[in-house]
Amino acid sequence: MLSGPEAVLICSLGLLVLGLYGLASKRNLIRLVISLEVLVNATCLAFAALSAMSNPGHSDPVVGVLIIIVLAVGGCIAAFGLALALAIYKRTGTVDAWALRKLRG
Amino acid sequence: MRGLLDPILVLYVLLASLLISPVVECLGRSKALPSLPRALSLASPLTTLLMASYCLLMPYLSGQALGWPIVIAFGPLGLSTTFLVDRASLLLAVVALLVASAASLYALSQPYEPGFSTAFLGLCLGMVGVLFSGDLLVLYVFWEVMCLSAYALVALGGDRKAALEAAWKYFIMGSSGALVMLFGASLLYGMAGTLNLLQLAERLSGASGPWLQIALLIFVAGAGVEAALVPLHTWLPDAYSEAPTPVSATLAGITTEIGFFWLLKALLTIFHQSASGWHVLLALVGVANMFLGNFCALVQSDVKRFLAYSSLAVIGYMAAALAVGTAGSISALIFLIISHAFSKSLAFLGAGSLASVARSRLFSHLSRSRALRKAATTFLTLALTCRAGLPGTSGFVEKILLFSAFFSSAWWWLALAFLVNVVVAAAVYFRAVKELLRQEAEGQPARRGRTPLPELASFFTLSSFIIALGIWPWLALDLASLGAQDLLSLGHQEG
Repeated sequence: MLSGPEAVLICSLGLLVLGLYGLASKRNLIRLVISLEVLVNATCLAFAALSAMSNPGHSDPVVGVLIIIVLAVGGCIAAFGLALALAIYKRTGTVDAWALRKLRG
Repeated sequence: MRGLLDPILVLYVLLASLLISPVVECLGRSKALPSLPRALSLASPLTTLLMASYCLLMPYLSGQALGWPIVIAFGPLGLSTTFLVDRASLLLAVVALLVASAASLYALSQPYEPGFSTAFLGLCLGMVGVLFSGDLLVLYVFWEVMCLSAYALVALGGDRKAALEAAWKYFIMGSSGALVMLFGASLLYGMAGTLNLLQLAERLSGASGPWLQIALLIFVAGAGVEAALVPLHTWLPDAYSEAPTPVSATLAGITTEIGFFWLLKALLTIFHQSASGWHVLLALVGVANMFLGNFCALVQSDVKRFLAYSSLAVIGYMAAALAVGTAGSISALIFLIISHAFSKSLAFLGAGSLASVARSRLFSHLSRSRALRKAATTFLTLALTCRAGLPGTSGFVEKILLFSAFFSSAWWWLALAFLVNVVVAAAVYFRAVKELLRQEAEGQPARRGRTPLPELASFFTLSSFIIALGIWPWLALDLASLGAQDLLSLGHQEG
């Protein structure tokens, strides 16, 4: 039987794999940004789980600070990605990543 | 005692100028002060360049013992924001700010894109912050500042549709790389209970086991995207070629190398005494980079893509030098980063100047508009011959240093691969020079033109460093070897 932090760690690994799978397989620009956000959350969960495993009984303030900052940076990434997707949509009229085929080779 | 100037002030000045830049952008839209944003994007790197040079050179010239590396911690160590300034980082910060100043000097003659100043200052702040960062949280924040600014700058390229595509590719690859690197940092935190670089080195020394190897692999894969290690390099040729010229000069000259430098710092500090096997991994990746970069450069007809692929080969040399890991090879690596920064950014600026009058980036079209930009052609030729390793330029010194580092180590196959690639690279660069200086068959009267003054000033600045480093490399060599000493001692510091 898994204890709490271990289950959370496995969950974060699952999210990491899910995020990377999304990045590799999705064609829609918005879904790619969502996959990046899944990676942000996977990382935060991993930090929380590992902090709870290495300091049983009390929480490490560094990790709390880290998670807040990483979530804020994740917000910036999403905002930037959506802005870029919008600019691409205005130019090309599509949000399909496979339609971006000008640069090859 | 850190002398009169604290290196951290460089970051403060850059941060302050980044914060006021949106206001300056708004003021720049009025008719009264149209060139204010450009002035800020030149003045800020220039001021910080002077400050960083003072911090580096004053203790060196006065023989003052400062106890490098300097640890600047806000709060108790391990629970705080930590900056770690060694001489290699400070030297590269000076080079980065010099390249950024030359690029923004060049940008004075270009049409201004709204938002350039803010993103460019963000890039400068991110680069210096990554170089100075002493823990993984600080690193991640500055890494994202650097990368997000770089994506935005790439998207400002002239052919907007292609630039947006290149920026998107760079954004998706770079962000996922940074997040994967942060995931690797979480594993390191789980093993050592700290994010501080020196404490990680101390607590992980002598550690072993599969988790350490997995953390190492994830860390290298994450940082390898920004450092353009094969096979994570696919964003690089697109981003370099579609970005505006001053941006491609900065990205190719120094930003990618800073990504690589951080990987180097992490490997030499955190994994120096614990995980083995990274030397061989890095040597193999380096050889793949060299061959792929040089052979792809050989078949390019677009000058910016050609320069981008040749950068890939240089990153291969850097990876190989890091794999050898001796004091000699690390100082050769630092010298290579400096020499490559000046010559590659000069090449990008020269090529961009020619391409702007030819309205094309193809070699065949560039040679036709040579008469319009004689100075740009001359400086581009100088930069290309420097990269080929012409004696009297920094490219020659850099190759001699790398040769001696490889041949004095036990890595004979790495030395052989380097030798083959230096010959191929020389052929690649001389082919480019030949294409550029080719005579047109029809004797149509050539139009005359002048290279704008800001462009000339930036060419002169960069080329004087290329030649100075080729003729009198001793100061840079001395600083590089002191930097290498600092880096190698980081892995043995007490936390």
